[in-house]
This record gives sequence, structure tokens and C-alpha cells, in this order.
Amino acid sequence: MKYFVRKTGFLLLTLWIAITLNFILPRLMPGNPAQAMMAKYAQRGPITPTEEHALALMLGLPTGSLWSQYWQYLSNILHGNFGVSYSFYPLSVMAVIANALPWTLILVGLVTILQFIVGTLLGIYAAWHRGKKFDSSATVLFSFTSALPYFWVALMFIYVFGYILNWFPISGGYSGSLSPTLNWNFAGSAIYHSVLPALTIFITSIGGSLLGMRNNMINTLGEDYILLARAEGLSETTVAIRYAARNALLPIVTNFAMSLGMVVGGSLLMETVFAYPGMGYLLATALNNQDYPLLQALFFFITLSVLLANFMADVIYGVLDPRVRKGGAR
Amino acid sequence: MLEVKDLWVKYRSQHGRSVSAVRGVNFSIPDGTFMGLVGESGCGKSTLGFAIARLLNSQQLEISGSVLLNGEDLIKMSSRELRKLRWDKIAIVLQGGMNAFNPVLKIKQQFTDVMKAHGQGRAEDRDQRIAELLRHVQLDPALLEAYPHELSGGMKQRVAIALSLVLNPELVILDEPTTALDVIVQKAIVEMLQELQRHMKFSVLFISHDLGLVLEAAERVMVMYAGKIVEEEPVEVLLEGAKHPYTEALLSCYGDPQAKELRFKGIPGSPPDLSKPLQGCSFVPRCSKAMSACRELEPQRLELERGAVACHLYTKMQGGIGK
Repeated sequence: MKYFVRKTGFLLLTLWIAITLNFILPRLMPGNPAQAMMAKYAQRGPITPTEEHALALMLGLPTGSLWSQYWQYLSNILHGNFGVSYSFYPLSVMAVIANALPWTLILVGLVTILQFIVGTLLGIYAAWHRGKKFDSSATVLFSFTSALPYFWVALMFIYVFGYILNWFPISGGYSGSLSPTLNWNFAGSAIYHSVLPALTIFITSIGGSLLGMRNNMINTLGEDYILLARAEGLSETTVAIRYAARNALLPIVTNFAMSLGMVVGGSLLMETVFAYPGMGYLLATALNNQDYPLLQALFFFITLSVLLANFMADVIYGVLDPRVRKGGAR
Repeated sequence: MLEVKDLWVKYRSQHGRSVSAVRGVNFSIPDGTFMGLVGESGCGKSTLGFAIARLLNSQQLEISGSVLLNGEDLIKMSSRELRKLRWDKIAIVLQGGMNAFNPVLKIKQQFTDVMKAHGQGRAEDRDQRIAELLRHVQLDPALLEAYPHELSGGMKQRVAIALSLVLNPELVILDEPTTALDVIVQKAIVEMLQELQRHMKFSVLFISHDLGLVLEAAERVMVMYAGKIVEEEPVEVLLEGAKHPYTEALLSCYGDPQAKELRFKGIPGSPPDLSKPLQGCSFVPRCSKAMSACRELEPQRLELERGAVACHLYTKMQGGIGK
């Protein structure tokens, strides 16, 4: 119990530091968004101070001392108020993120979980039958796929399956003729559009899970307790799963939780290549348009999810490994 | 009764040269005997122990010969027959017990895993049995709820011994069971083991590099050198005087506590490379009593009145070399 309290405390502390950094960093940059916009307009003609003031009010630029800004900022975060997006004006930042988040969470999240489960199971199988046909072919094949650059795989898939064979749409999250509502028609279209992005992520990431698990498991198979379990006449499945895989999984859990944390940040490359309406695409849009409120909110959510994922990893690790729970092995 | 007949274990190497770690071993362990097996590192004693328990990875080596337990040949058994027999008839205890337990399972779960695998169904019976065994090895039954990392090395080794006895095996093979422990804990564990063995009447194969410890613990001793058993005797016979020059050299590594001046002798040289074919006796280069015959002919196991030895010094006495 003490372990979980300590970990929760640590989570809150790091979260606070991250939020504060997120507050400070934009303020360390010279100028402000209104000035940046003004500079653009100034090329077309002179701007009066009234116009500049109007623009600052419209964008909701902060006023008052740094200290009061900070408290305002903290209370805004607690209320989920991240201001107005510049690039999607007049939509609020929250509304923009709420539109993008489900796309990324569902697609990238599901694929991340799926590739982890499939990759780990295949890794266990390969390690248990090490040196046999499946192991030697899988090791070579997946070393190859995990070394492929993602954008290249995505472009090749678009070219082959989208352009030449015309099996799948080449971009977007759903058919342009539909509006995002919850019905079968729309769901079907969304699934159809997600096949290529999902496949490309799956293919490029499963190798890491498989090889990681395989190598860990082979190390574990050399442990004395595996030898003893075999000498005890336990069934093959018990030795492979309860004794070997259970222990080999421990370090992998951390990696998995980390990659789950990365899901919210979106797969920037995937969403850019496929013009997929998720968080990664949003991040790219915000960057290109100097949309500070949106960027700040995105950073906040990405940090939050990474920290939460780390916290989850710690908690799961504590459940799985008694040595961690009791405060370190003796 | 365990009988090992002409057992060979050859480790295959990918680079062509295979290593014969066990080279034609013959011996038997009658029921209820505490047998010690001594030899220096790399002599094949652990390989022999694991080969008897059929725990060697058959992909990397060749085993020939036979290991008969009550007349049944373990080498010829299918893996299903073996699994039934494992722990029920032959149990093992590993070195130090450090990593002998699954770190994520409680001690109790590791006991119940074995008992369930061998069809001991009722939870209360199992709990009672485990608690009883822990008391036998002088541990508090409350330790059942502990995880392996919460135990000290000595405690772990006691638990490992208790675990080996859970199904009342006929033979317990202990591979360097006390090597990672200090001498005080070592002695306590050996004494406990002797008592358990007399009480529960299983036989023991106690593998160690420490001749002194084995002489203290065992009833009979086998001395292994370069993959062969060179001498086998009851402890009291060996203490009266070793037959094989190697055993003699091993004994002289220990000092006589009553001597006024202690002088220790090591054994010069090092054991032979087992990946090369050997001609004659493997101990020749280090032997102080080597004769010309030793270089040409490999000495065979010779049954004596109360033991056996493989050395030309004795073949000669029995009627000459070259029979």
C-alpha cells in the first residue's frame, strides 16, 4: 500500500512540474502571438494600436502579473479551459482536441495493445521452441520489419494497396460524404479507412515486441528455477507460462506502458502520411499555424498521458513483482 | 535402487569438437544410501547428476548407456513417463538455492504447483504436508506466505530440501547444495539432511567439490576425475587410506589437525582437455606413481572387497596388465 501512495505522490509532483514548465516556456520566448500575427498583417498595410488591442482581446492574451497569470493558468487547467484555438477559430481548444482524441486513442491505442499481445505471444512461442523453424525464420523476418522506416512502409502501402490495387482509401479517417455520427454507415467507413494505418503501425512495431520478449524469455529459460520446475515434472505449459514467461514479462511491461503513453501524442508520422484526423495530425497543424493555445494544451495532454502510463507501469510492476512492492530485493 | 551402467554424456559443439563430460560411468546406489560424489570443477560430476535425472538438454548432447531406477531405464523413457516419475521418484536440490525459486511466486505456491502436478488434490492435505515438511527442516511454517527474496540463503536451502522431499522421493540428488553458504550453516544443513535421510529412508546423491564435507556427510564416496569414477568406497575405508593416487592427492590437500606442523600439498597440473581423445589413464600427467602402462592402457573399474578403483597399481596386483 505504501508503495502505491509513494508512486501517486511522485505522479502528482512530476505532473505539477510539467504543468509549470508548460506555463513558463512560452513566456520565455520573445514576443507574443498577437505581435506575430501583427507582423503578418503589417506587410499589407499599417496597423493601428486599436486594431492591435482588438486582436489581443480576441485571442485572449493574458494580462496582469506573472503570478496572477500562473494562478489563472492553473485554475483554467483544472476547469479544462485551454482557451481558443487560433487555427480553428472560433472553436475552443478543448473542442478541437475532443474531436481528434478518439481517432488516435481508438486506432493507435488498439493497434499498440494488439501488436503487444500478438508480439509477446509469438515471442514466448519462439523462445520456447528456440532454434526450431519458427524461431529462426521469425527472428530474421521481424528483425527486418522492425528496422523498416515507418514513413516508407506507409507510403509503399498507400502506393500499392491504395493507388495501384485501389483496395483501400489513401487518406482521411472516414469518407468525405459522411458526417461523424454514431451509425453503422459511418463506423464502417471509419474502419475501412483505418485498415492501412493500422496495418502499417502493426507491421513496423510488432517486431520489437516479439524480439524483446523472445530474448528476455531465452535469458529466463537459463535460470535455475526453470530447471527445477522441469525436474519437478510440471507440465510444459506451466513451466513456459507460469515460470518462464511470467518472469520474462516483467521488464517488457515497462516498455509497453511507455508506448501506451505515447499513444495520445499520436503517431505523428502515420497521421501526417495518411492525413488521419487524430492528435498527431492536430499537433502538426498547430505547429504549422503557430497555434500556441492548442500546442500548449496538446503538450499538457501528452505529458499527462506519459506520466499516467509511467504510473500505471509502476503499479502493474508492483502487482507483478513482489520484490519491487516490498521495496527492493535483498 | 539406482544402477548406472556405462553412461556416456557427450556435449556437441558447433565447432566440431565435442566434449565427453561423462565417460563410461558405472555405479549403483542401494536404497537408503547416502552417496557422495566428489571431484574438481569440470570433472563432469554435475553433468552426471543431471544426466541421471534426465535434465540435460538432449538437443545439445548425446547420452548413451543406461540409468536404471528399480529396473526401469530412464534414458529410454518417453517424456510423458518421465514427467510422472520426476519428483515422485527423483528430486533435486540445486546449488545455494539462490535462484532455485520462481521469484514471483510465494513459497507455498511453488510447493502446491508440484503437488497439483502429481495429483495431490485436497488443499488441506497439501497445506498440512507443507507445514510438516517446513518443521522437519526447522523452519517456521509461517514462511509459506513469504516470497523467495525474503529468505536468507540458508533458509532458502532448507526450503529447497523440504521441497525436494514433498512427494517422498526414492532418490534426492543434491548438486553442490551448500557451496554458497558459510561453514556454520553448511554443517547445520548437512546434519539436518543426514537426520532426514535416516528418518525418511530415501537415498541421496550428494555432489560436491569438497571432499572433507562429503566424508563427513556420506556413507559411501565416489571420486570422479575427467569424466570417470576412479574410486568408490565406504567412507570409513577411504579414511583408512585412499587407493587411487588422485584420491590420495585430494586427501593430502587437508591438514591433520593433530599435526605439529601443517603442510598442505596441492595437486600440480590441471585436468585434461575432454574434447580430445585420451590415451591411457587420464590422470597420468599429474600422477606421482605413473608407470609406462598408464600411458598406453586405460585402467578399467576393478571391484575390490568393499569398493572399486580404476588404477593400474591394482590391476597389476590382480594378475597383471593387459587381460
